[in-house]
Amino acid sequence: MLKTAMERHGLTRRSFLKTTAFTAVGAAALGTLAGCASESKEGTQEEGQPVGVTEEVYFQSCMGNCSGWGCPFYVHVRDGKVCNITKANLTCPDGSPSPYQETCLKGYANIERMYSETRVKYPMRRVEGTERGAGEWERISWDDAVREITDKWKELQAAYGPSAVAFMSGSGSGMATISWTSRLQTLMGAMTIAPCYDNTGMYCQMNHGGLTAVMPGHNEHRDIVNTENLFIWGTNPSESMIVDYHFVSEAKDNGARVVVIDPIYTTSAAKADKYVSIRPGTDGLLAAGMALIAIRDGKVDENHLRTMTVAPFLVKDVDGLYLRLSDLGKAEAGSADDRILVYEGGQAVAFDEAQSPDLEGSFEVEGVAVKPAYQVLLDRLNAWDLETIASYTDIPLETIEELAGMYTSGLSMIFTGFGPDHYANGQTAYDAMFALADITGQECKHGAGIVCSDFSAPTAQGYASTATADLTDAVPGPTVHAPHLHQLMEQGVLGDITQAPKAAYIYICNPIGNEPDRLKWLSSLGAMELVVVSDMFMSETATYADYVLPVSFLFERDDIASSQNPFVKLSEKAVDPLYESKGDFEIITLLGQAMGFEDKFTMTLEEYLESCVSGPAAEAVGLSWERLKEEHAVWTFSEEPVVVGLNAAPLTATGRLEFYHEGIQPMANVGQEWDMMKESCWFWEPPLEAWHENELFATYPLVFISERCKFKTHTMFNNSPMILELDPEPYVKVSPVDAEARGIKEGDTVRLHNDRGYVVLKAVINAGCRPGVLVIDHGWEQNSFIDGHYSDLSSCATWPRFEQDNWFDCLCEMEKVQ
Amino acid sequence: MQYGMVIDLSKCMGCQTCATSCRLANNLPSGTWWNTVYTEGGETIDTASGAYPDGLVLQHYPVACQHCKNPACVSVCPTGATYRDEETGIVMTDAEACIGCKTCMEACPYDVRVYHDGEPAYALEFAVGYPDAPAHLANTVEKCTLCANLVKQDQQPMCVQACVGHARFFGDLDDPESEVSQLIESRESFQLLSEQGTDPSVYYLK
Repeated sequence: MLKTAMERHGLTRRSFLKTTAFTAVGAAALGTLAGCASESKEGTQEEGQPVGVTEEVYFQSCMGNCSGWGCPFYVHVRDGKVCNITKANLTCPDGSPSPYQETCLKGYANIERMYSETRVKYPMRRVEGTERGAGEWERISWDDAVREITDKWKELQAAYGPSAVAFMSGSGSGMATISWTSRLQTLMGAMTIAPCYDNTGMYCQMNHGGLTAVMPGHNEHRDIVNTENLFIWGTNPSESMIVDYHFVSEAKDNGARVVVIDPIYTTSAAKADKYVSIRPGTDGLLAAGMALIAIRDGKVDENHLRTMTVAPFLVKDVDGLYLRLSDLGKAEAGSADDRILVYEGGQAVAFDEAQSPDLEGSFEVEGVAVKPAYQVLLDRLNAWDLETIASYTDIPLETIEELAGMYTSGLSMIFTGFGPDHYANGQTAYDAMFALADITGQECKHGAGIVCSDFSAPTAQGYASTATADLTDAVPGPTVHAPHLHQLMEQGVLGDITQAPKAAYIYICNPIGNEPDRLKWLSSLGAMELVVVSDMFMSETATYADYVLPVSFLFERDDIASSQNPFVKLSEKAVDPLYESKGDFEIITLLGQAMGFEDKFTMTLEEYLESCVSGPAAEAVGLSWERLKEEHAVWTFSEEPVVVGLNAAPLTATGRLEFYHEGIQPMANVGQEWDMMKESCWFWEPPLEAWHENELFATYPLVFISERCKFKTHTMFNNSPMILELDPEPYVKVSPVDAEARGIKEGDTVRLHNDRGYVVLKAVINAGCRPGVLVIDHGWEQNSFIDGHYSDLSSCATWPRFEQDNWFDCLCEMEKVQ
Repeated sequence: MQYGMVIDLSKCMGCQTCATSCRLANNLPSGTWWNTVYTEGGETIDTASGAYPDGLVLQHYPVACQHCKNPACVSVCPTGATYRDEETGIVMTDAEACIGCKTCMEACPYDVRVYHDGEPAYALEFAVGYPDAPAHLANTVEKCTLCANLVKQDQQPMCVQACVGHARFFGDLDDPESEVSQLIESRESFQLLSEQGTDPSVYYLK
């Protein structure tokens, strides 16, 4: 049908789908149809004369980073406009439909985004003499924009050194071309301002052993359907992972029992067999309690601990490091022979020479006091009793017993996400969940293990950005992590960094709208001499820039996507860029050439994209540019669901699953106090702020959290009229208990405040809110609130181990606005 | 033949994808929804009612035209604009014949009909969705067509194709072997407001 239509219209554009490659849904729509509405005046569509309808169909992906970040679909073009989105029809290697090709409510809103009035249309310069954020702009040419920006960068770098210019990226629509920016940054030796969401969750996965050659998480989403007991814990997939929620339903169809552990009664909770309400910030204590019960009841999987984890490895009391042969003078330190020792038969032996090493006890080896890593973990767990855990988690002891009994019966899987991550003590949750799985052997099997939202999504293999591959001599600039940017800006020094950046190039992100502690961002960016934002839309950050550069929409550029999907996907340019927008590749090439790197920016977009799927990694999985152009989507992932320890080896230092982190160092040296011994193994301490025993609690007794809701992905989709019809304005969800105590009723205007700031918005009564917890959907920007900003409430404080945005670690008070 | 739909409420997460995919596919004007996702719970969508934490209620109900076998809207339509297609069982509206009297809206117990007061406005300046999406005429009443344009081409209605939770099923209720008939047979199901005698062709699985 497609081929026929193509011939009839004499069109030969390469982007017509070939019927041999796959079948396009809506193929029958091609050809001549009567009664098509024609383009007309603003705001209305007049019925035109019957006209022939020619549709072009292109393969594309929605690139919202909502744990989809790569949901494939087709876009249809009529009369030069993208006018329809239909479902992809990809198949797994075995011919079954791909389970990773759903499109959520937001995906269908992409056309409204693309043609939104909030698109940045032209390069713009803040009108001289006006304040940042005043909203007065003048349209300038690309030539002027590129020249003025790069002149200033050259001036600043000449005066203050390369790191006077900083680049900041985030998690907008990231594909191959976005990585081209790193080429310019590397050549300039510019500083990196690293966004810091999900770091705690991510690094805990990787510290334990989630990082493999093919995935950063433990059990791939497809494995959810194989479990018998599913613990949805610290995530709400029915809102934040909509496209993969069907795996939960399939697990239920297969007979799994589903438990949801959450302070909020979410839709996921409503659909579960059991809902357990938990005090925010105490997930790690619950996991520890379950582990203590499992140990008490003889549910320890000793063979698993011995063979798959670091449990038998001897840890020196004095420094927390493993005892190695070199400590006994039997190998050269750091050599391949310098193996870690375990204890067996009353003596220390190399771990690979032992049959059944001791897991518990304290020993002395040639005068050195040691104990197995498992004993360290047991000591940490035994510091807690179940009554205290029940009190702190606010979960009845019998419920904790029930959960532990369920977890140790049959195959159990924890499906977590980045809820715990958003408190400063997030690692106390993840480390405990992994310890629980290690102790009970609930991992390394199909149906048993830990799934962590997008870190357990497949990552297609074979694609590798070549943006900096040839820049082997370049000296990269320093990295400042977002939570400490403000300290660097205020003090001019941070750890090893002795120079605050004077300029920022902000791309693929909207930090003012998304990061916690917004007023500090305004201050930090305000202290810079030049702020440039490239974006598709006039984001909250763009409004505070000196220059705004218009970026073309996903459907206006060729690109390659490979993340969070088993397919390497070619995103095909469907229409020319609107207005004067350009793709990131073109923008960076212009800036790079103007910076004097003409010889480094000679590649065409197609040459670059081809190079990213042409290396040895691509060849190893049968991927090539020709094949990608022909098929648009190429499955380059394991056919079997990936499970760490079963069919994928963990890339930890020991090659084992690590509940003990030998010699652990903080993510960044920011002058913090560092207790390496303490951080090496699970412990529990409360969140930095969101805690009822915190001294601030007397003044600010409400925990404010923000929900990753279905209507937005961060601040994306704020410009879709139909999404805004469904969800027109921000509101705070309040427990009836907290509302009544403050005389607040449904629809009242309320003010939330603390020492950092305030926000004024509507209140909605939600009986599913835990008393003492307020929830606002994440992703609203300044112009949506009646007054203030919800991100003015949250803090940028971090735990010493991680550079992390801790949105939920926040106390406030609320009152009705009269 | 009676085309109909089965919606598995245990799988519906209230994600609204049925609503937005329908809105796009059918080029629906601003403010017009043929699919509405109701929340049984609090006053605002997606909120719960009841006692925290063990006595809470939160359930979504996606509702569009029920394509009744005995449609209340058809019998009251003075012009015959609303009719039940004998071949497919789909309840259709002929916009050209509709005089916008809204009698059907009064008669329909499901509140799924939309009246365009004047020329409908759109978010975009050009038509979106399928090229043969229904026209939306001023001063007429319209509703879900079960994507009759797609069904004619052996495709499923958009909301069924798009259902992210795999909760929607489409087929011939008169065929006992169809997936929808089998689901109704094997699971506990109900029709909305069955006491109204409309005999809806949409069945909800508990």
